[in-house]
Amino acid sequence: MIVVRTGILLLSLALVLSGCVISRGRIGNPIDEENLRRIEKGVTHRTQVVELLGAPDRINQAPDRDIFQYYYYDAKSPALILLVFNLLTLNAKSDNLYIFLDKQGIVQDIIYGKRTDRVDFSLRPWGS
Amino acid sequence: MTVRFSSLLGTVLLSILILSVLGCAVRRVTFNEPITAEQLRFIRLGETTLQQVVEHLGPPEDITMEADQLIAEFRWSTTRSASLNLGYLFRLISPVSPTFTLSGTGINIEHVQFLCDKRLTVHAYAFGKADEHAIIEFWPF
Repeated sequence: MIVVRTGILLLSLALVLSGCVISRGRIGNPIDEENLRRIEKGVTHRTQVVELLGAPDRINQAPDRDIFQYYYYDAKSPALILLVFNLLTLNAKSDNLYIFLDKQGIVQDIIYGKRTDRVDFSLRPWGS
Repeated sequence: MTVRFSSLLGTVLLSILILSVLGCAVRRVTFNEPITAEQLRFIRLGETTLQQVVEHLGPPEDITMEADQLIAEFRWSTTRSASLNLGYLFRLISPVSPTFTLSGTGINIEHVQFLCDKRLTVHAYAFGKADEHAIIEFWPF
């Protein structure tokens, strides 16, 4: 009896999940928030920034300052691939960190925000 | 007679439903969350800092320097794509189905830019213009 029930359960599960595709993609490395907290405005030097966070993904140079940019992208993509109908969504979000350095290489400002913790696997083609 | 009619009607409706989704594919790609004008009501030009904007909206995708000014750009997008393979109809009568697909894609890339001074105080902001595309656009002509 248990074998039959398990068989029915597995068959039902296989039917329900048939055609389901779940995938995920990432670009870059997640920003290390613990190391980010060690960076102090007016104190930390660019060499320490690089030691803590690695080389920046992009450097924006201006006459009186440099901006180190670090970014990370996360995307989740569920899909339903049926015989006659296909539905696919891909939801991507980004984290960005900007560290402003003066000409002496000292950190002046930090702009950081995180969105990737809100990426979901929702499968809805409508909405904005 | 009534039972037979409703059964026939149900079969016809089900057939229409199945036929209407035959060969259909709907795809949607989103990048970041949309930012609306209502979300920016807290901003006081000349007072609000970029840090406060980031706390409300998340981080900008790009920061560029222009002389003594700085431009922070927030971007988000929605791409919708749909296709209808009319060749699927041949599967009803033939083991081999030709491909004849109508497909449409709408890409909305939207942005809002903030102009800040050296101290990262917001002095102006502006939305880019974008047209909203329909969820499903099969007709490519």
